[in-house]
Amino acid sequence: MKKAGFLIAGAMLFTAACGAEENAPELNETGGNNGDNNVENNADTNEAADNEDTDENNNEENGAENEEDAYEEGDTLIMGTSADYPPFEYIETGESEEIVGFDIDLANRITEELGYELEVEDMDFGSLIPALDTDRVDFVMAGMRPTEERRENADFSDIYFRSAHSIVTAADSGIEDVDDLEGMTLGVQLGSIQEGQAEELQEDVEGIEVETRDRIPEMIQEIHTNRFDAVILADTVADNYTDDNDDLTSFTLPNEAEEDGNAIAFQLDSQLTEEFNGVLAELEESGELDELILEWFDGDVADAAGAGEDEEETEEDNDAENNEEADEDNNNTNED
Amino acid sequence: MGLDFAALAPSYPFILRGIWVTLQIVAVAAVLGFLFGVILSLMKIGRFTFLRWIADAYTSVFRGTPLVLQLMIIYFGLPQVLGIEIAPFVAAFSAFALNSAAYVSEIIRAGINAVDQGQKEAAQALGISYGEMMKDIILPQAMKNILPALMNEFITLTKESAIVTTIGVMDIMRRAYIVGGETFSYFEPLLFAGFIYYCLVMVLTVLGRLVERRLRQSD
Repeated sequence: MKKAGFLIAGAMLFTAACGAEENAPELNETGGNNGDNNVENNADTNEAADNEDTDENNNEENGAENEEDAYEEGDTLIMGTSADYPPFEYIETGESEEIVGFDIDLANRITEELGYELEVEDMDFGSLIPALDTDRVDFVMAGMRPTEERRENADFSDIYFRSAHSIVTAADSGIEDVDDLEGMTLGVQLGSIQEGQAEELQEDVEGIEVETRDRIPEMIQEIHTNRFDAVILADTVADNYTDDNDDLTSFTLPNEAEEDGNAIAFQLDSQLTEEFNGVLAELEESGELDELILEWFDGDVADAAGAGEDEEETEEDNDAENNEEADEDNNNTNED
Repeated sequence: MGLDFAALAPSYPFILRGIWVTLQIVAVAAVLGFLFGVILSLMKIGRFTFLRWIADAYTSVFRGTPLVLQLMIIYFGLPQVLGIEIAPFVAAFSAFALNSAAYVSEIIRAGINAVDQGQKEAAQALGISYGEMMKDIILPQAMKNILPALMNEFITLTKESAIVTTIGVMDIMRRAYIVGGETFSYFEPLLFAGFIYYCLVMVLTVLGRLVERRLRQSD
């Protein structure tokens, strides 16, 4: 283990050292006379520098470069997600290591239809677009909304899930509608679509102070610590929190903006955007999309997803869910 | 604020499985970082100005930029520039090893300088080659003195490893976040993760003491 790791790191140091000058021009050539460099690399990594290895190495590098327009049936697509956002994507940590959720099911359904294999990779929400940019993942489904800023760095599919925004407050705060927010501190997740919504609220209502946090649980915590008077969340998520925390309450904001919804993110000019849109339209037409939404958002599942405060309840919910999950697991060919 | 750890009971094993992930990263990074650190320190005290200059430049860059940035560059940047695949795990231990080497090299350099000059002179008088003198005479004595400082570095490494959450390695911290997301409770999983890190550091501390005692036997 250590030896293997050492070799890899050795190779990394080597490539890092000579990479900046020597490897950069190599990427622009296709095939060709760059054998020397690769042989050297391989000698360090694998202790074997025959021609076959050199060719493989070339293919890999070129493959990574051209990936954007070279997806074929049977290829494995890597989907980036942040598995801390039930019921869109999460892990039933008491049961397994597997990422499940509405987005995962939908991704499985679409890739199956298109003949791709699917692999799901978990990372921080903030790392998702960079991962897409740098070719680490092929597409992103993470309850992500196609904001203007994001559109500059990624292509987006059609909206596959619409939801309204809710304001969550402490139950004893006395905040009942938007006007009550005057002079209050409003929390919003950094980089979320709700940020735009919060700014609009700021214009409409006087004296709202908007503060950002990285994670939704952090924002909820800030209500408990009294630093925030209210936070703004997607209504499905807000419902989960208010159901699980008796000291929280929420109300829904009127939904106006067009980009309010979740979409799948792709690399710019990816061929996948069109392919995925095609399947999305089919699923919407056949009613399958609605079925999936019902399956994950009809309350029961969402409740079970947020293991309750009460332990007994949690166990019951998990048991009931086991059976459902067993069926769904059959559909999930992701996660190795 | 009521903390409810019982509700998390089914999820504890999930977080605990992250210990192995964290340990793997830290162990590989510590070993590589130490070896590389020794090389760097030898470059720093050696006769060749050019090598000394490289080692100093390396140290200043890796000590002068945030670790999380180095990790991001290795994980997101290098694959794009070089066209090679770097697994999250490899990116993680590489970043920590490269970073740790910069600190370790300074610790070792201090240790070597602290060994009495007479040792070096005696070795030269006896005609022992530079390499053998370093390996058998100077470095062993230096190690004894710098052990507490090295333990400090390894402890820091263990806790700092939590930043691999940004690249999606399922370590203790990332698992705590995921459990927090799933159960809609924030503090409990994080406190539990903190407890695990504390236990790991305690084990490291005890191990360090044992090694220290063993090395002092000859005093």
